[in-house]
Amino acid sequence: MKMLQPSLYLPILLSTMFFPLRSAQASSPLVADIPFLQTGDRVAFVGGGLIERARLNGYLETALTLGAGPKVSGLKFRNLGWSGDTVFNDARSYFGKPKEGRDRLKKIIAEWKPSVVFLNYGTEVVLSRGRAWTDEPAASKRSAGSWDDSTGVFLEGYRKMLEEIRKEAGDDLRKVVVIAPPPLENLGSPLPDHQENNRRLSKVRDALQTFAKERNADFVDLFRAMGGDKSEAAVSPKIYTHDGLHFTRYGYLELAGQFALGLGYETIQPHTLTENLRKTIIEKNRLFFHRWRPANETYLYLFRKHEQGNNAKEIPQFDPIIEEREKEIEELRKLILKGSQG
Amino acid sequence: MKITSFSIFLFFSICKIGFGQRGLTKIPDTSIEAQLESFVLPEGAKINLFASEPVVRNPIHMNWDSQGRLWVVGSPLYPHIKPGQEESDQLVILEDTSGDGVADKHTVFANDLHIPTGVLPGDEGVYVANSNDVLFLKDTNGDGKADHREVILSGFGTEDTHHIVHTFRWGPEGMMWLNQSIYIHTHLDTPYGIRRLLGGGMWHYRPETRRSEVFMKGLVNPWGHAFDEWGQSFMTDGAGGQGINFVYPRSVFVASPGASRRVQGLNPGQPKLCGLEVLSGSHIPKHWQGVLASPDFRGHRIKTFRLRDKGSAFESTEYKELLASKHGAFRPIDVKMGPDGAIYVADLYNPIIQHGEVDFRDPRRDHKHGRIWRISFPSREPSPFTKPSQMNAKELAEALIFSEENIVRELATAELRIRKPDQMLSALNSLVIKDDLHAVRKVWATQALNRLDIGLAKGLIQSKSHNARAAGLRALYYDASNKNYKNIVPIAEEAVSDPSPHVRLWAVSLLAQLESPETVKIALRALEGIEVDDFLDFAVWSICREHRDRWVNEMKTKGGNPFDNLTHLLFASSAIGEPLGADQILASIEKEKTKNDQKVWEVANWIGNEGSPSHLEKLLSLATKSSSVSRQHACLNALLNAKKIRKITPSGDLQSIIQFLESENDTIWSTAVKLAGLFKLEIARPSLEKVLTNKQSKQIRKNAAIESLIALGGKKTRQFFDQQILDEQNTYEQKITLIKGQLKLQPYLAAKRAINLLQDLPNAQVSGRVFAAFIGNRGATQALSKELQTKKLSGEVALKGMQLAESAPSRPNALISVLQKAGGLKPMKMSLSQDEMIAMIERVNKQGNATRGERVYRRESLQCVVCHAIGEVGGVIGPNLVSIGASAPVDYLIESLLEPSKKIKEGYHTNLVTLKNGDSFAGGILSETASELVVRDLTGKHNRIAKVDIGSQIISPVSLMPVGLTTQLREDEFVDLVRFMNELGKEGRYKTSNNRFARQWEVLPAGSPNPGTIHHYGVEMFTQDFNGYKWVPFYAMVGGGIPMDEVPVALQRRADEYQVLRTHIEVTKPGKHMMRLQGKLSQMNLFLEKEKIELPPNGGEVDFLVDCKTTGKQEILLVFHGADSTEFSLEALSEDLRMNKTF
Repeated sequence: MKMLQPSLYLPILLSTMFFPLRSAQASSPLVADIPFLQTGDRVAFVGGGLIERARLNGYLETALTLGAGPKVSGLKFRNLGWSGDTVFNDARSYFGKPKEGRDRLKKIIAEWKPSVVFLNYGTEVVLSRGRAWTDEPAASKRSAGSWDDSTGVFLEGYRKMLEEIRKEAGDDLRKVVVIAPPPLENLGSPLPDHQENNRRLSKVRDALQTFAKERNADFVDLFRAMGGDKSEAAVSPKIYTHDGLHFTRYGYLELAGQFALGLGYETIQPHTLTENLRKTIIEKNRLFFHRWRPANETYLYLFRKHEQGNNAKEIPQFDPIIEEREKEIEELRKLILKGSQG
Repeated sequence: MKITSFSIFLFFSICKIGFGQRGLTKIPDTSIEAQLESFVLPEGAKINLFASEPVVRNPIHMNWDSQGRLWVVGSPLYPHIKPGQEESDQLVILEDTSGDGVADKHTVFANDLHIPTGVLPGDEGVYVANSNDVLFLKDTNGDGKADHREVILSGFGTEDTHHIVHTFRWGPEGMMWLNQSIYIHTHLDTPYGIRRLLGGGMWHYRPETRRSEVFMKGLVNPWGHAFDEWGQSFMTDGAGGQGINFVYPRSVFVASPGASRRVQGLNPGQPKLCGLEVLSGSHIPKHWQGVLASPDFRGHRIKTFRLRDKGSAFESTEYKELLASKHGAFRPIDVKMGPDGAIYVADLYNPIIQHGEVDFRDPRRDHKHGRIWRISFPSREPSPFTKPSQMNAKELAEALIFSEENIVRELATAELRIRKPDQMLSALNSLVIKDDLHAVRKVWATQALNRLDIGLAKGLIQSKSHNARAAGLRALYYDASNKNYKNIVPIAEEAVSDPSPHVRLWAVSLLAQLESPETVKIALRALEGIEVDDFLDFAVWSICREHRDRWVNEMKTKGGNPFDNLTHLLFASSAIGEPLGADQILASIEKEKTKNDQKVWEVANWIGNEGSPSHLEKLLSLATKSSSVSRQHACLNALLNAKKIRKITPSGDLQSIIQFLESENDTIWSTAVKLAGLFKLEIARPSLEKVLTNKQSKQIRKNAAIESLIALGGKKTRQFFDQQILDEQNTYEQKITLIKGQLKLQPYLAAKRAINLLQDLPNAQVSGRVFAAFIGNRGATQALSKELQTKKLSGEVALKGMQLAESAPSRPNALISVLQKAGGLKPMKMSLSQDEMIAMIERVNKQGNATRGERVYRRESLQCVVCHAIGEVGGVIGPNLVSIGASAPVDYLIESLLEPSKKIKEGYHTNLVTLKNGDSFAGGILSETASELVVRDLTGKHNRIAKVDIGSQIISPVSLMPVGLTTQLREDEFVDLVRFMNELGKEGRYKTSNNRFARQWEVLPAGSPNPGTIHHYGVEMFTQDFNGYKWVPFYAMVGGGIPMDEVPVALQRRADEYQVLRTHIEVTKPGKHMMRLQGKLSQMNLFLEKEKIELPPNGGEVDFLVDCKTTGKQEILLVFHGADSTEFSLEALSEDLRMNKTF
């Protein structure tokens, strides 16, 4: 297993910087010499709300798009995050059993054949003490049980999901990256106090680190990178989230920088073009959302298909528009990287 | 083959187009004037245009801000974004700066939204529903446009864009309330863990704590929510039909997935409603104040309702219409009181609504127009209004507590939230609170600051007013998770025994939030000493389940009964579906401690559903020892269910069941022989065979004997069936009954025998029973298809089979094709070409006669009324047609009649459950538990199915509506029928009025037997309780009248004809109450509870008083003597009478 160590501290010059500038790196990433992403990589982000909402500001994707450097090209990203999701993918099911959610994930993985998959799960487990965090019948009761039961069923589910993703992606899959979720923030009363939750999340991180090693996956420790090991304060020193859980734009900016560092990437100097790139990425993500998670699925694909299913013919018409945006992204990327080199 | 003229029309239609290709696009006049002219308003009211396109387009939802500005979201993008289209829906702020009732200023606050379905200004910005997400938008630089955008909540489903998160409202306690509809599956990541809501329901969200919780579940399209002045919640449903729904924590309503129990709405039979507002304020006339208004968007009108306390909930009665229109694109979908006291109506403006039945891209859909209307009463002063945003702390506090204008308090609540809490608390504390309502408002104000005055809230429990006591408990309910609040349990404990059921309901709801180990024990006390209605019963049932582990663990460790008495234990154990305490309870019944037969049924059902073999043994012993037929039935029925659903047999000796084979009672006998069969008691066989060979045996006994013989099985059963089928002595009826048994054991042999019978039947109608039996079982269907391949049937018989097969949810295509061949039938062509359709629409519009059409609709042979209701009366299998004409285009109606499966209404999809033995059940899922499924079939029968027996379960693409029903009609009759349906719900004769007519009747069938002779008893004879009277349902016409020529002649004696009808009234207050009877009075004899009411000897209408000594249901019976009556109606005028809706 390769351990990807993000730096522990980064000065942030928000007013002038697009991404946090890496002026001091505490420990060098292990993989700095071999670019993490390679030409033609198809990258999938899978997780819950943290991933899903990342599509709306594009920071994470922009960081990786540029971080990959001028030597690689043709990167494509798909945000497959789904709010409220768990390792059983039950949030992704509609009218069927929770398993239908897993099937939906498998389907998109099988169709898109990613070469790199990032996985982010775990926060939902620490937040649901004594309460079921999944609807999957085989796991629901244990998920509401003791801490050991709950984390046990989490890791079992994670293992199975990982296996299924590997199976569906097939030989194209080069890397799977397990992400340890960032810490929860204490924003003070009346928002909940997460000190205990963070202690638990650090245990989840430890378990995930072992898990990644055992499953031959890479590991990124966003818990540590975002200060989880240091913060014991009743109120968090920096504010990256607006409710303790969900990141603000500023939070995503920081998160994206840490993530890039975790993969061994340099961060990029700000530029008007990077802002254009980010906007194009957001637009591409918006189009892709309408493509893979369209509204009105009941009529387009499901049990009322016989009534309005003919309208489903419009949905693939998003594909050429998405491709157009991806071409623009590639162009912009080249321009920016050329500039930064020159 | 019976080919009537209409089917000939379908086969050989030669109609030609005489007009344009787009004959379907009769778009209503889009001008403002056309809509204005169409409005019908109550006395003294005036309507004016507040705003319209291009400023607002297709408005969906609106709310006011504390500056008195109206925020409106609309969606030209609806129903679905096109590839290449921008997310471009708008949020617009409308302002009337001059006070003339017309918006003269507008600001586009956001123009990049994706089907926004909810808007709520507050917290110095605005919350907006944006498909998957709830956004918070804010203008930080003061240019009037949003420049800050934050996703507040994400994870709402979008499976259907008219179901997505909607109906935002601030509650008086300062929380944001939001709803979602049936197809939506929501998974919110919250700082408190994941919260899920699958299906419809309502959430509340507190911005300060970011806590979102589910309040209630269910309802199909809960597009309306309002609070009454004491803070109770009411909802409306845009696809359900129960009018106003009273909702409370954890209540579960229609269509909630996987629900094993549901609560009903307050007005069954109402059309679909969208939006809900309490009319209030000094500007509107007094009689409108406190009335609930909700738009009937299909019927182009706004309906209103009045509420009264009833038990732990409310009673809702329909009141006058607030607004009506004949304009086909007027779609009122939101109604809100305005700051000036006028009533504002959002008009989506669209001739086409929703997108399940009409194509997403139907060109008739409007994406350009939209209107906000304002209803005012010009002779009355506008309500006083000061912008809460301009009030100082003291003024704001006073407005919150003392203002009698709802809108002022609502907007002040939103304003309060952005003020400094300490300053506001001190302003609130400086006010002198004198009455209960003000105290409640003060509690709300502190809660809206998220600084609940816990002392005051607790103090409310001592109020004189039960409304205040309930409100106090509700305030505690929201904050129950706050660990700083002590001693909440004793408050709930006191309140569960409150004289008011309302208070008890809230006490139980509060308990459900608490962590005490005794919550269930305390909650069960709410059932004592009062009449418990379904709402309260549900709440207690719900906490027994939710807090199961608390009391079950106690019981398992300590033994005994953790509750006050055995009745409580029975209730709690039944609720969780476990046999806990069964030995204690059965022992008490055995000792005859339980006198009440109803209780024995409850216990027996519970043991049947949950008990162990030894519990069942005790039940069998109870049955054999009891001499009460009711108790025997209760026990045997429970044993049968245990065997059928759970496959569980009583322990010990089973022979004692045989003693019931001597029973005189048909039900006891039938239940016992079914058990004997399932228990494999061969000793029963001779009795079974005897019943089947005896021509005099009753059908119920024969059916039971067949079932029992099948269960006994073996060579003996097979031989017996075949011998009897081949026996020349037996009648067709007997043979059919036997074939129905044989097909379960030897489907191919049964198919051969059936074909012989079908080739030889005296009339084709009987063949339906044979086909239905085969179609109901997969293996038997295959056998019949195979055996028929080389056989011939008469066209008439084959057609009957075809009709049944075509509308079978299992779609037996092989059978359909062999039937065609066997009967020499042409394929049924049931669809029209585009040209034929255009011609047909033209004919409906020009020649269709709705009056004749209603008579066609009511024809027995068409069976429309068996499955469909119009308003309050009729069947419940199919959709209620109350406003179908106002919502569905003519082409849709025609298509649905000819090809029922082409468009299936939301919520009416058929579930097809096929058992491992091949039997299939089709219908709606009524309830579901871990072990069983209850399916309501086409006949309304509830079928309990063991899950272990289920082979497959699918949603069938086939409508339950039989194909070819209309083939028996002449073309002109079909045209009239469509015209009638097209008028339903439109302004005019075919919109159900709010007159309280007796609509649900029962009549005596033609030639009914009588207990004596009419010349001896006189017409009073019909008031006797005589078991020869087999009353059958009969429904009034849409206008409320009863057409006498459709009422059967119960008795004909020489030239004298007697027609007899009965209905029920429900009396809510004793006393003399006014009713109105219209019709030929000289022929009528009217009885209330068997007492004759004197009517004038002649005339056509009379208002009369009925003297009701008690409350509750009372029977009204009418005997017509004479044959030339045309129509009559009976109507309640007094407020204290309700007309019966069900029997």
